Amino acid sequence: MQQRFDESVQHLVDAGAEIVEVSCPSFTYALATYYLILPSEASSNLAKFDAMRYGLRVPPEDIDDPSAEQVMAATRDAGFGDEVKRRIILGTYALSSGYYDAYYGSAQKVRRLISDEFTAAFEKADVLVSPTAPTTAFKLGDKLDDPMAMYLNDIATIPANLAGIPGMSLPSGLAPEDGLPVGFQILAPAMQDQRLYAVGAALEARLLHAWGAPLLASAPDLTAVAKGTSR
Amino acid sequence: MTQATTDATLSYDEALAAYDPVMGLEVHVELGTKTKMFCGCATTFGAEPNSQVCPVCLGLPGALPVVNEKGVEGAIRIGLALNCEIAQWCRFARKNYFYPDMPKNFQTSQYDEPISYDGWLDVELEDGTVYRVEIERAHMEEDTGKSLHVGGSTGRIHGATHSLVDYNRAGIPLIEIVTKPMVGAGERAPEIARAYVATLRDLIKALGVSDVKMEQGSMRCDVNLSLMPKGSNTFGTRSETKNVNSLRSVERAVRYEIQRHAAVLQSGGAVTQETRHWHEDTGITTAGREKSDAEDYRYFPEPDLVPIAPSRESVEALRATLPEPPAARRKRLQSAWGYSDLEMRDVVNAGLVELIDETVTAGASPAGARKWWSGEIARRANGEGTDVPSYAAQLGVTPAHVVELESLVTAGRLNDSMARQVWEGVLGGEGAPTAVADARGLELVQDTGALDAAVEKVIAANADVAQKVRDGKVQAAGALIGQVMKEMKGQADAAAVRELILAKLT
Ligand SMILES: [Zn+2]
Repeated sequence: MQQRFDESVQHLVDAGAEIVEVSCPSFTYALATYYLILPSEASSNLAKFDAMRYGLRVPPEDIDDPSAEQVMAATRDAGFGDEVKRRIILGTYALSSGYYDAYYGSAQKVRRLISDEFTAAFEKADVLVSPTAPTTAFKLGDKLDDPMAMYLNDIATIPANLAGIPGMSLPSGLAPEDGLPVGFQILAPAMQDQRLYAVGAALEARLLHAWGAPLLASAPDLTAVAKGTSR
Repeated sequence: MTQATTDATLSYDEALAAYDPVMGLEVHVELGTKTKMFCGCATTFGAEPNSQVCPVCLGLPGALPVVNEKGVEGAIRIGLALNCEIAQWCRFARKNYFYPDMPKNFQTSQYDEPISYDGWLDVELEDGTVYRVEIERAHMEEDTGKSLHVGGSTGRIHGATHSLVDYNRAGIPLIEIVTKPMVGAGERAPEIARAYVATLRDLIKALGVSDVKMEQGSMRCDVNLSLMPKGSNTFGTRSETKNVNSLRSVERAVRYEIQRHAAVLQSGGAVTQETRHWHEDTGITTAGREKSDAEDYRYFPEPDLVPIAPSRESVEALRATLPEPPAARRKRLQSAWGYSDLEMRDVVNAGLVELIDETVTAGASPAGARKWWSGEIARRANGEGTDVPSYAAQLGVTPAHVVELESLVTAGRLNDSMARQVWEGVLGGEGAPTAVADARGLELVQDTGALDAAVEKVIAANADVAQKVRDGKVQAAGALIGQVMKEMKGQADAAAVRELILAKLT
């Protein structure tokens, strides 16, 4: 993975880019911040699926004359999947009185710090680059029992979402470990999306030239990978 | 569970002897914008249910709100008129709760960043005392839909078999004006509450941002009340009486809650923190939702809307559009009309300022305008349980009618008692004054021959009285005037009759 990333950076240098390193210490908290803010908003956004106007209408079992609240509860239980319920519960908790300041309130403050660090970083650089994810893709359903591991995979993309800036990911080659594509992320300041296309196009042209063909041509046989017979 | 019991109350005097009321009022005002607060839907009152809705105000998944600039301007103008600070930067917040009249299951409101805060409003009571009401905040929010609960006996959700919801009202801009706790009002608390709501109504009406019709729900009032034992500075547990929607009810609800709280406390009980329902017909409140487990609305800044940051220039530009404050206007009009303090106060308390202003502007004398609008029509309006402006509007009686009536008197066609009869006809729906006078055959007799004959006849028949007048007892002429008027069936000008009698006898 690191190898693919370094190669892409070198391509950009060859295309005339100047490389500077920036430090954004608050990004350490980006994941925790995101998983407080997103579930909070989701818990509110999804409240409308309450059996009254939106969503299913599932009467609760074993209750003869259910109240509106009981119908809502049964409906929401039946209609939402585990991950959605997890986020609704997390978000409801983070917004609750007595917990708001510690969770949602703190998360918004860190979000501000992250945004400020991006602003400072863009003083030094026109775009920021990083790997898109810490690992290549894991198998479908592989981490369902370990949501934290699943969330951690978003660690590199989440700061941009928190700060509200544009980002782009493009394939930078296959990882030698598992033959799966490695993403290369480019980030630009708000309202400067055109920088993403300029840098992305320059990198893509050089990668294609190096590969001699689109990446798909060298991709592994995914049916074989899925069956676990080959890597 | 049915709510059939009536709570005990203490007499008002006993309650006030032992406790000091602490009062807070929350008034909701619907802004009269053409469109809703966060979408382009129309806001016409009384439209076909659910005909003024769109994806945004129905909360369709994926629909996004946009703030109505006129709504923000209206909010700022109200804040300025209430002598509030206007926030440099503020946001909307989501108030989350599950209720079918909220399509999104949250209400877009403001929480800890209201657009206006820390203001005051001077309220003049009937006896001329001025009480300053401190304003905590005036914030922006959206109205909810209207629920109709069907099948229950009370029309409330409890016991209903199903509910109908009209979302036409959902998303209409609303300003919630919250007072600071009013302490020290004492026995005048009910009166102050009423005067505050009336003053606020007049102020907002003058701003032109809302029609503030309590009977149509464009102005709604919640009354918070608690008692503290005399000498104590610690607020008691408060009740929140919802939807007290007339000036008279505001006064009665405060009075009733003082008496009810006092009875609870006097008997050694504890007041329950709860919302109360106001019953206009019986003048009492009954228990609503208990609030002891403090409802958690999970407020947080609305992520779908940009913050509101009105520039100081734009705020000053709005301040420049504020009309003359009603209190200042009243002072100016009083002096222009030449009314005494007492006369002006009566006119204000009867809600006649606008009507008299229009009538004077239309050409009537200030004295005449006051006389006609505060006489018979006021007595009738009172009997109908309404006020003169509403009653006049209902009858179709206008300032132009008063001008016409007065001109009939000044032109010498009617005397005062005839004018009163004509006015009764106008109020009775018989038409405009001239038409009523024609139809009823009311006209001063201009025929001096007939009048002369009547005077001669009365003098002859009352020789002793006539002699007194001849002897210089001019006031005795009154008895003769009365006789002549009777003789003329009232259709004579009393002043002319008097002149004629005196001419003949002195
Ligand atoms: Zn709409």
